[in-house]
Amino acid sequence: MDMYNGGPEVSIRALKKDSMKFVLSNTDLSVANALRRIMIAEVPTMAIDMVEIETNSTVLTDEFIAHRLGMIPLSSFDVDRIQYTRDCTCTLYCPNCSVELTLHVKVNVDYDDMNDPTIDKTRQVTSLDLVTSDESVKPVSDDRAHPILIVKMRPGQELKLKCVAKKGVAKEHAKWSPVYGVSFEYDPYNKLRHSHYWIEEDEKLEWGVSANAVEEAPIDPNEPFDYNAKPDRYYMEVETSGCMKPEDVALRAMTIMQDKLGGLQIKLDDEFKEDTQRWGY
Amino acid sequence: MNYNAAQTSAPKPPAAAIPYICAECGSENEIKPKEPIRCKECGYRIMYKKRTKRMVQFEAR
Repeated sequence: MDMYNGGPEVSIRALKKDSMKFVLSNTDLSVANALRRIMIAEVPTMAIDMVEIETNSTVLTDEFIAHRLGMIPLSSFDVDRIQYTRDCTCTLYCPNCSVELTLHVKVNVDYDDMNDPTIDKTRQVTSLDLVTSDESVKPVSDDRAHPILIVKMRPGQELKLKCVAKKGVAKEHAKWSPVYGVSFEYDPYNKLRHSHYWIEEDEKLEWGVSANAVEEAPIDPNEPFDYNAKPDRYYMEVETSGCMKPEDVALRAMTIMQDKLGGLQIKLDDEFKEDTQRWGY
Repeated sequence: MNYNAAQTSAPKPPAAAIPYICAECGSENEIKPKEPIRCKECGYRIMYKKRTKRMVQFEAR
């Protein structure tokens, strides 16, 4: 246990609006993997969870549209203010544990253009048509030129519905995941020989080193293989859906991991105390 | 309370005519219960029920 003295360290290599790269060092491989898994599945966000459809004369079925609505990422910067519905005192849902979004699109028939095939009469219903009741929770689409398509409609069709967005974690459903991808690499030169490359003839020729290799010293061919060595530098990359800042996802994941470990420690202490009282060891 | 009396003596509400859409010609047909299912326009015997006017709820997952 004396290997990782001083505790884990983080150094940020790149930070963009919806992605970041950082090096996690001085900690065990399992910690890096736990952080990755918590970022994917345990950071809470907002997502549409219930859809009440009043009118739907589009070509897509109600459940198809409901599913598509659920997948739309919603901005979740303010998610801490919102309660989980299961913890809320209300009976079904309320403003403390949900946000309502409505959508009403009716495409009118324009009789003058009706028979002109050169005019595109298809109405694209997108995330921009969703009207939110809470400005802090709205579809992620900073780029108005590329909103998220929900359904295409032709003249005469109508779609009217109400969505209820709730707070949740991706352990329950992947739509609540704040990230599109989290990856990490360690030991780019494969000094620890954790990777076994499939090769035709020559490993070095067929498998080049990754971009992270510049951060580490190459293998010294005169040095013997250290079978006791353990990894301690992890090159992590996070890409978010845009619902949260990448640094917020990482920080939140670390807080969640600390809370979980804290809870475990308290339980273990209780267990030991009980054993000492009962058995005297 | 006399349930039997209530059941037998209560005047039955007049059977409501429900609109259906003909699968052949698309015309709207009002059909009452126990009436033959047959389009008044074209004689076709397959009908579509209209969508409910009520709100329908779905889980978005």
